[in-house]
Amino acid sequence: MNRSNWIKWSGLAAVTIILFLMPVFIKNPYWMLVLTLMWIHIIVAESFRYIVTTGEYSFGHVPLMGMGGYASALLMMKLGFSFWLAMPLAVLATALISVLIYYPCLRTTGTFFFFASFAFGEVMRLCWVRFRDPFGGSGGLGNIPRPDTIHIPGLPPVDFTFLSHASYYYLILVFMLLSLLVMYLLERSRLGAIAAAIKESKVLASFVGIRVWRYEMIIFVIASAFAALGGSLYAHFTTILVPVEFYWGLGIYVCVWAVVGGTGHFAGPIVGTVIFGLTREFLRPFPQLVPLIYGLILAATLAFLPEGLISLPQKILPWAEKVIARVKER
Amino acid sequence: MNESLLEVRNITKRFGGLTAVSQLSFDIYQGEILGLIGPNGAGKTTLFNVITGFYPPTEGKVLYKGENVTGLKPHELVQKGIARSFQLTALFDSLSVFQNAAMSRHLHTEVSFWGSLFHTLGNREKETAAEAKTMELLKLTGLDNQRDVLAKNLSHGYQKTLNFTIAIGTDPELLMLDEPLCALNPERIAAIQDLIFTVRDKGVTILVIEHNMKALFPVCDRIMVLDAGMKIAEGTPKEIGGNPEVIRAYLGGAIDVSDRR
Amino acid sequence: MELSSFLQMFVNGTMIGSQLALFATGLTLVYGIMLIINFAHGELYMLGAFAVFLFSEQLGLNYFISLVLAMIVVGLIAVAAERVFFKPLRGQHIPSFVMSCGLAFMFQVAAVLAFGIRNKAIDSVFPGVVRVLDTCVSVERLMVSLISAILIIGFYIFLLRSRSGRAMRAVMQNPDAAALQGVNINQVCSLGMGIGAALAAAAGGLLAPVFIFNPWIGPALTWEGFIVVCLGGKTSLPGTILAAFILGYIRSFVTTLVDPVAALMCEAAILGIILTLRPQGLLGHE
Repeated sequence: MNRSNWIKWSGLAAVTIILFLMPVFIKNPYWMLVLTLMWIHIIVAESFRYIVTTGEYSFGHVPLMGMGGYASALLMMKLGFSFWLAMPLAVLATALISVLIYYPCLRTTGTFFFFASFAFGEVMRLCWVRFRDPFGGSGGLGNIPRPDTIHIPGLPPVDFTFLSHASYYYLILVFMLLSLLVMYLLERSRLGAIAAAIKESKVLASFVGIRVWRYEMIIFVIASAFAALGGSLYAHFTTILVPVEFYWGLGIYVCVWAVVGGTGHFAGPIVGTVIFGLTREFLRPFPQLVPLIYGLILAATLAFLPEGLISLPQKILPWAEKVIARVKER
Repeated sequence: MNESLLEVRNITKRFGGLTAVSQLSFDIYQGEILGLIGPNGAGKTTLFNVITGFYPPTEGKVLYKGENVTGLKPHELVQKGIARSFQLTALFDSLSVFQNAAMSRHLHTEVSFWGSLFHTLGNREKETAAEAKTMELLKLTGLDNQRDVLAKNLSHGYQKTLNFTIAIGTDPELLMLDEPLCALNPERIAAIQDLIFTVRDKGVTILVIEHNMKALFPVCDRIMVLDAGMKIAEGTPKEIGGNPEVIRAYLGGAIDVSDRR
Repeated sequence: MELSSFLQMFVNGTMIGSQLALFATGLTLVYGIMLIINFAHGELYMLGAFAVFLFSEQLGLNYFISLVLAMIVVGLIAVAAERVFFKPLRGQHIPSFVMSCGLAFMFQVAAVLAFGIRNKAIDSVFPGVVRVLDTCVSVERLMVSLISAILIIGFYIFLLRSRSGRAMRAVMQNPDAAALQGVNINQVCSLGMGIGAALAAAAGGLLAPVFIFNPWIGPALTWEGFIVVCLGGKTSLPGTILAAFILGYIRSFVTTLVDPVAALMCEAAILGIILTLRPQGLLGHE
């Protein structure tokens, strides 16, 4: 491995260690909640970006997150499955549903794809409102069971009774890191190269033999699976699911996090989600300013850094090098 | 006489009230280079689009190696061995020259999805082999020393060459070139002419649309002339050059074909 | 199904249709002339309702005068917004959409600052109920539909007969050709925006005595308007009217026969189906 790879990997290792040690240093239960929720948001934002790698922006992504949550909750509540069975089944079920939602959208592109995916997502979301049994109607689903206690021989049982317990934090952190790893590997694989080609030119892609629809569908389904994972974790973390949470509000937020962070780079949505998450916390005393500040950050980013915050180091680097060279001259 | 690789029978394409191509029939024979000329709006690119599956014909059929391929989608036709280049350069703009060429090898690379996902050992060998084949392709068309340049940053002449490279990267049996020589300087034109011969020598049959007749005629075995969607002449370059119909259509003077290699 | 229930649903649907037609026409006009997706259109309706509230309740003016004033004021606000925010984005779908979302938010904040967050209402202008075709209809809603129809017809007369109207139609068909003919594109765009906004404000003002309103009613309305425009054919004004009535009837019948949520589901499904199967809508052409 060459030097720059060493730096990258050791940096990542350091960050991971810090993330795992955070609960030791942060005793404040409120911040534990905030961070845990942020890990869930990162899963959703990154999987949103995964769809963007094909060039499309989907507004059905967040409803599918909700579908994962509802499916997982209902599998535990109505069928008595354990969390460790309900969650993968929910992910699978949502992946299948996403085929129904995205299949008609394959004919569309750009703004039409955006609105068509939202329209079908909305039909699905309204099912949760209309069918009080089993989805709980507009009041939603409450008393969602928490994940089952984990019994590892020789160690004390890991339970999920309290939200701020480190158990939730670690559970969701592990899932987030695994999700990021898988999505990263996918992007580096042949599938990622095909997605990049499709994004550049669907026409040319088909003229080198790529079945564009098939690969788009594969990517959309994978992205939806991760969204469902995020939704399931969300459901069993907050123990309440309400349909209005997955309306266009959250969808716009996810879009903003990804775009401001930078959709061109894998780490972009992570940066965006973290920055906006922290900003919201600092604005707790002034809740009415939140949309305003968000809007300003979005506008400023679109105007000055259209490739997102992640491109900041790239932009600063040549300028910084010049400054350092000047200083050395002296 | 070689057998027909592509048979076009009574192809008609109408767009609303406009008939772009009308009752067009011709054959392309194995191993030949067939040139397609005609005034602007004669229906040449429309014909290409119909044959390569961009849109289906209103009437008529296309037979490839005896098989009816009318109305098949582009990716299906590429699988069968029909590739094309584009008049207005169609490239993967933000990808490098190497990545563009690698993409064109999509149907022929041995690298599997799961292998590439986990970077297994066996896969690494395949990746190296695929990379070598891509570099071979770039060397053939003279782009190997620009492999990491982004496609959008290439000069126009090299962009057309990359366009050409992507088309032959798919290992076609029938290669369809849409104005590969237009707006190029003489050095680039000679390079592309050489490439066309090299590719033909590898056994590929070629159909070329071109306006630059001085550059086209030395390269072709036969020429077909379209005007207003219909075939008005077919023959060797010499015959076409002296054909009064064709001259009347738009040449305005006989073409000197003594350059024939 | 009894005849009287059917007629009731039909009458309701017709009324909803005429309201939607008035509201959505402005959206189609703006898209047709400038190729801009204006997601702040619902806010123009909202501002119209608040403007009528301001003029009639707080300033004590006659309702009809308030309505006209509201149309003018909101129209001018929209023209200003067009000049400043939309002009550089003409023809670009996504940036104009994002910009209009920002504008929508700004209008919401402005309304909150000016009028507060509580629901508002206006007293009925036409009290009472009347029997039409063996059904019960509130006079208020009947008048709203009639005035809407009059405004739409007036708009069409303007579009077909007046010089500016013809200029607008020319730009909608082919902006370059229109420019070559000496049409002032900037003027036509501003005019189109202003008229579209005035129509939306009229819809808002007309329905202010019927429904309660607050600064956040915009997005839901924009969504409905968007469905109407896509169904009708994004640049086709007759298509918008047709689609408005179709959706009005669907809303009316489904809400009564099934429930309101099912009506929303139908509308969302219709949007999805139209965008994927027939993107040019019913009467549009691509």
